[in-house]
Amino acid sequence: MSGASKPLWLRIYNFLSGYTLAVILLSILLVLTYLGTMAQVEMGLYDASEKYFESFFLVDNIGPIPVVLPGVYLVSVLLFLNLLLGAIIRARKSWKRPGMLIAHGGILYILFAGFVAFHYTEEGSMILYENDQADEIYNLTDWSIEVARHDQDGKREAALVIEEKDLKPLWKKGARRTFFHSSMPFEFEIYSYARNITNSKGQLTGLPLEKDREKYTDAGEFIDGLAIVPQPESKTREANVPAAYIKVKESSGKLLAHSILVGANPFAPRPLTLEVGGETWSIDLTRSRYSLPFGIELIKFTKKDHPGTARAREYSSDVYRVDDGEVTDKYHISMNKPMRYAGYTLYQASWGPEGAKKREVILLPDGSEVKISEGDRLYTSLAVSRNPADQWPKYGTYVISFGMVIHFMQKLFAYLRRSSRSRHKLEVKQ
Amino acid sequence: MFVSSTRVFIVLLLVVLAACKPAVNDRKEIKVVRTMGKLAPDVELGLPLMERVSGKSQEELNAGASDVPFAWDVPDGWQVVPGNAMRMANFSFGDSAQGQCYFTMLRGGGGLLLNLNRWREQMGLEPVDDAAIAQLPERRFLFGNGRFIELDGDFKSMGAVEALPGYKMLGLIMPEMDMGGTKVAFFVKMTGPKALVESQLNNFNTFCASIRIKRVRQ
Repeated sequence: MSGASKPLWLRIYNFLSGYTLAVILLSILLVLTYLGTMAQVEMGLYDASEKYFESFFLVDNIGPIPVVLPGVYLVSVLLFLNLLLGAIIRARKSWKRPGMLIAHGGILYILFAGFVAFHYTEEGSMILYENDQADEIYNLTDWSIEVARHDQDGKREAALVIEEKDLKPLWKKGARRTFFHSSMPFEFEIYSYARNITNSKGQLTGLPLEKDREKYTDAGEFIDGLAIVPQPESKTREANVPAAYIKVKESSGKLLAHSILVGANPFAPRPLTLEVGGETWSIDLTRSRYSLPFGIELIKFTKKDHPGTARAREYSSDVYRVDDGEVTDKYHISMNKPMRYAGYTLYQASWGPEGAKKREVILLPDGSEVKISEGDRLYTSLAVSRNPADQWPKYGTYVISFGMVIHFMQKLFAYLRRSSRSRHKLEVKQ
Repeated sequence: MFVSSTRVFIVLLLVVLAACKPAVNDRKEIKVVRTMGKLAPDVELGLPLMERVSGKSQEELNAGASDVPFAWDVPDGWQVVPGNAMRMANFSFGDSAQGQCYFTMLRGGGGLLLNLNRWREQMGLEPVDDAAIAQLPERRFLFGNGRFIELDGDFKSMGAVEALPGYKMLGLIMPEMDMGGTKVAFFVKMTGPKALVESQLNNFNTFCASIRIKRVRQ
């Protein structure tokens, strides 16, 4: 049957399951990997990753010409389909060649693991000083607004969370959104949301003082001596600190507060506080936070430097797990030796503060000493991840290896059999 | 062709339409509730905006930088300007804040002559040699005696394009203190229009004399 005479569905099926599509997809993956990697220099890690690796389509400039390209997400979905149809469903199945079937099954499994990891992974960071305990992690790049009611001791049971996806529309100039909830005795409007108010040194240059009003013609309204002036976003997305204006009103329309929310340090929250109907409420613009089902206490952080430098050679953390307020098991977390518990993996990611100051003492001419600085306490930074597919790529690799071993063993035995037969025939002839 | 021109057009149209979407102005119900961790950090409640932003109390803000190991008295009429990594105390004075004064500590601070000539250059003056150092008057400053400097000229601060004519600079330098093998120098420097700076001479002296070591926060 000629190609033209085949029904359309069969032609589509043949294309989707064929080598042609596989070659095209793998070639596009190669190009996208190159473009995405190079774009990280200009755009930063997170933006480049979103544009090239997490998208269905993207528009890229090849020279002056804008070109629409498929994103890695779409290409991966098509590759999965292509492998499933071509290497599993359409492939000739025979006990003579199970190895290839198993190996392709392993590749499909790894692609599926990538899909699960992309959609269902929770990840964040935890920073601890020695003897500190924590059971919350925070996201390095996403921000949220948390609204909480406090008891008489200032404690919070729960927080209402406005996630980054609901804040994203506010990034646009002129955007404003009012948030409400049945348990809140007020509602509040967020507007003039600036994604970054810091300069490259981390200084809050986007919050000018009212006395400098004349220098900042583009500043928003001044409230309590400060205004918001959006600053250029950093390529290192985690360095950006947002700010926004907020107006809090009672349901009757009475204005309760008009202020500025500034992205806060997740370890020392300093939220906007409200007293409404005898209750204390707080509204905090914070890095998105997640609660863990267990706590961690840092016993000791160890950092060893390269000789004669302040560059870390290796660093590690000794921690306790804390369950219901009680310290339980002890773990040693170091590079490539994470702690795994309850589906969570805690990696030794970093330490700080960067450029930590050592203890400084001035020696006076009379021999006495003046302490200038105690030096900075070091903290450990743990990357915490809950990825349901955490170990799947490893298992997928085992499956692929198993399939390849079977395949090559069969090839080897077939070769040996043929060689044996050839020798036997030769001997018979002689 | 794998992607028809019609499809490309549709995708481009969607992209353009998405870009043209007007800014939101709507109401949204909060739907996500997070149970707080038992070990969640304590929240500082009831802080005014300036303290929420800076993490410093109003008293600390009034006094300038608070995380430095020195304390000082702020002369009447001087305004505190937020300090930075270089300036531990930073002030302005005068009707349009033309006068500036700051206190700084410089690690690897350089010798007295080097700093004197750097300042002279800023005032458009010729460099001097070691003989001029001996003629600088001494003033009680911090851990001992510092050298007092008084210069008149056209002031061109670091990074400025044009010099400001008719300026005066007052300075007090304590160089070459030993800090664990590193040399550190301490400076107080005041600049501004000549008449304005001369009117603040007493305040300058009072400020320099008030700088003292404070207990380091544990």
